[in-house]
Amino acid sequence: MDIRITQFSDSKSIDAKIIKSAGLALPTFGGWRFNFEKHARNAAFQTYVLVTEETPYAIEGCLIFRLKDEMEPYMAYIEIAPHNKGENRRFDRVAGCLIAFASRLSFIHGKDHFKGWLAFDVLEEREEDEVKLMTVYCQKYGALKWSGTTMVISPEAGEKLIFKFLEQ
Amino acid sequence: MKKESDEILVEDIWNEQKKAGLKEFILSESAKQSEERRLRNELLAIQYRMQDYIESENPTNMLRLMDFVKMYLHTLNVTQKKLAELFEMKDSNLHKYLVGERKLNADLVLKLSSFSHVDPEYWFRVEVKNELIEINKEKAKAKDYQKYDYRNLLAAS
Repeated sequence: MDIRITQFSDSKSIDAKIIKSAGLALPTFGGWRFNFEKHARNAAFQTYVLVTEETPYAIEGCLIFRLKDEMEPYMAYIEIAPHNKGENRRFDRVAGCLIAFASRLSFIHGKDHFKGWLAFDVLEEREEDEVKLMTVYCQKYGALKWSGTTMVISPEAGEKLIFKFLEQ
Repeated sequence: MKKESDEILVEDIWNEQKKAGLKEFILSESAKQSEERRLRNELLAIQYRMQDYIESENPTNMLRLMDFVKMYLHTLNVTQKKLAELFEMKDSNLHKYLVGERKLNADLVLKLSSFSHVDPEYWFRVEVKNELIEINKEKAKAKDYQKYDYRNLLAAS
């Protein structure tokens, strides 16, 4: 899917796309938190990467989506590349685009009452980081806190994210 | 440096009780939604599938206009006959357009767009996508078409 992200240094809009990960060398740590290469081998997982048009082999962010019990959408893993974190990051909007894409998948694959509802867990090594991140998910992406570390994005919030990050 | 053993796995944080609790939470939140909102969720899913079909490079199955119209009819629980009435057309006539026996025209595209709340361009692009798939299949027979080369005309004259 064609999308646009923003170059942090000059706010320039950059052509990018979210594609299935097949054929690409996925992150196996080296600054990343998750071993995407390993998880992508799980047949129950759908793995996607965000790349720019200009550098289609450089992964800017990764997403693993799963349909639990063949009906409940779940964002199993999401991470942006280490060079897109912090004050000197290369690109903005990478996380937003991937979360919006996962919401879109929850509309397409979710069944019955689960259509459009995206669940996920926020897990950090330190509890204060976890709380901080959950606040970001609430404020920036409209997620609801369910219990402990689990959050849910509703179809209304998901639709807004899809419009903001994938259709504008 | 991050090690394999440090990684948090999805399986580590899920158990049956948590799974059941989340299911209950989503069901109760979903129950609070209006009928209109629930219908919108279904309709958006079809729209996104249509967009993905148009953008797919090598679709495994060809989806005709009829397939997408059927998805809408199923979701809205109405028949094709009712749709034809709404469109002020004969059912048999509408059917011919939807299965590709007749080429789409602007009038029908605008009706489909108004009916589905999907950009008219998408309906056209489904038809164009399918034509491109057919052309790509025919490319395998490129040799059979070499006789239509303009140079054959020049050579004959």
